[in-house]
Amino acid sequence: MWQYFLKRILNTIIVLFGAVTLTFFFMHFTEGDPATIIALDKYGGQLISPEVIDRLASEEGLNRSIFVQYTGWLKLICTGDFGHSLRSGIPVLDEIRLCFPYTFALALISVFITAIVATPLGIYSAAYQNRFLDRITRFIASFQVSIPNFYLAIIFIFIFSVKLKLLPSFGCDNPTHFILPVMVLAVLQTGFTIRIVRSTAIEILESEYVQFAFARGLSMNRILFVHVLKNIFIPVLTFLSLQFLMAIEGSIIIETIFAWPGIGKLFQEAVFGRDFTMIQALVLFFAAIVCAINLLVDMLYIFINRSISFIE
Amino acid sequence: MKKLLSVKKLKVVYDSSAGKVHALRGISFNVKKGEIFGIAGESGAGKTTICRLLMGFMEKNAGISGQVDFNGDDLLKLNYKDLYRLYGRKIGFLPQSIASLNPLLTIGTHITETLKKNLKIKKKKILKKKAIYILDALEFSDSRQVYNSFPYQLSGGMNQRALLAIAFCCFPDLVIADEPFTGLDPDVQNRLLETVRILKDKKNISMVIVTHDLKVIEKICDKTAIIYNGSFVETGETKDVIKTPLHPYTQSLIKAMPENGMIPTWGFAPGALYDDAGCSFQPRCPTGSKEKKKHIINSPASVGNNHYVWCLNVKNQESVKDLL
Repeated sequence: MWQYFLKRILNTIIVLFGAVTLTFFFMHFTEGDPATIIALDKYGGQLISPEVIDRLASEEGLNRSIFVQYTGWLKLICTGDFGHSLRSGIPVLDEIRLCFPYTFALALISVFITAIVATPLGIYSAAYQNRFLDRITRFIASFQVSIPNFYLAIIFIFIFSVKLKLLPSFGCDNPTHFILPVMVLAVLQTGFTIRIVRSTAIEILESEYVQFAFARGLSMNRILFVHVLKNIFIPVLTFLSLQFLMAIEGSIIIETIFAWPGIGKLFQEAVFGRDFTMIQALVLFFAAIVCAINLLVDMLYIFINRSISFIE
Repeated sequence: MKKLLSVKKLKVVYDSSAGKVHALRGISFNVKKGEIFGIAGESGAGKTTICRLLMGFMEKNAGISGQVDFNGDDLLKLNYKDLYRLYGRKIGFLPQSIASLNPLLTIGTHITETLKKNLKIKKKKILKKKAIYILDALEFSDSRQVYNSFPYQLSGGMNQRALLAIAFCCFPDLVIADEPFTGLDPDVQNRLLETVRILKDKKNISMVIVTHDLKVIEKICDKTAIIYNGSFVETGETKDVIKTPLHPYTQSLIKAMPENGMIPTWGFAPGALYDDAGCSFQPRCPTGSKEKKKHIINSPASVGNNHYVWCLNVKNQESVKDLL
């Protein structure tokens, strides 16, 4: 098993190398000269002479050949130095370190709430198919799935911040600031997760071991929350890990609406500002997170179901 | 001996797009305390329907008529709550496949949860002690290890024995077994059948065994019914039915056994959609197929010693007053 995980770690390194290489070359083949952008950032709207741009380009090493820049960048990241932001001048890693906890907390809390709300609702919905609870749950789930996140965020701000004046609409000074963005993310994730849990639970409820459990006179709750729950862990865990990744990488809109100083907002600013070093570092960071979560989920599979082995 | 289970004129009909599906066409049988009743027949004859019905697993669209009396309660009239009070404690179930074991629970958990629910034992220590006692009774060499094992860690035969332990752990009055011990090698199968026999004798447990394997019937059942296309064609003491079969279908089943040369019967059963009056085996019957007139069987022929045959070619030797 350890051999398998060692192999996975080696694969992860190859994936990360691929991500770094592709991002580097794609960035350099897109339009927009980074030296000009840095100059515009530094000197504002003043007329900038070509000499200034040349000087900035040579200072940042942007006038060297693309392969020299690429090998230089590779050497740097191998030593853990991701360079500094072309716009702010702050080391990239420091900026990520500053923003990531906010996004991570948002994603973790919303996925946790999703798991504890959607799992029992999905299971009960499957156990009492086409009854009142199932119909209501399915209706709410369809509603949650079909509503766009930005629209939901605006509605929530309008209700809870503007009208009721209960919750703050932007910033992250105290825990109450978490409530609205977490609610938006959790509402959307819950809709999808209920559907996944329900369909998986229906399949499990038809299995022979559940029938045998009924035949042994076990209570409905024991069957649902021991026999069924244990067996839906793996598909639901896989789905929740994807939701977690989506919450981390796809939170640009939510973070923009709620002025949340997370990684999504950082990424958006880097893209609009052509901050090459920041974009490259963030892509590598996202790729590393995806690989790490996948590896963690695989390890959890073994913990949940010991019959799973990855020996090839 | 006192009657424990009495099934009378049991019919099961489904509505399907192709027409009415007759899964059972009015079967009747009795099981006495401490008796093993076997039901044998080919695939699609209605064996599993009997099991499902006795265990309350029937689909909602099934039209069921008749009477299933268990210790004075009509199982067809009980509500779900009362039914589940019987299952596990009074009526046990021995399933066919080891897929009936939850892959994520240990054998110990399977046994203790059943004991906890049905015998109302709460103390974990007592539950574990009882579970290990049951595993010991089933001749596991290392019961403690089996107690902590997941189904995937045990062989097919061991899992079957674990199923036996789970089905018998509360010592119910009646155990319904759906094709038990199918697909096991003869040695393991014989040992398991012997274990069932010992358990049954010790605790006076009754059983209904449904199988297509006449060997299982021969080795363990006191009484046997042969089912064909939803109807019984022959019932009686196992030794009479197997040693002196009188119905041509029973004879063909015995001829199809490996030690008798595996001679197949010509043709196929007409299926559950068959709705004509008369004997549904007639088209395949070596004698009846030549006759143009339909064989309408109103009552079985009694040939003595509670041996009944549903065939016009079998001469009635006793007057059939009351079949059951």
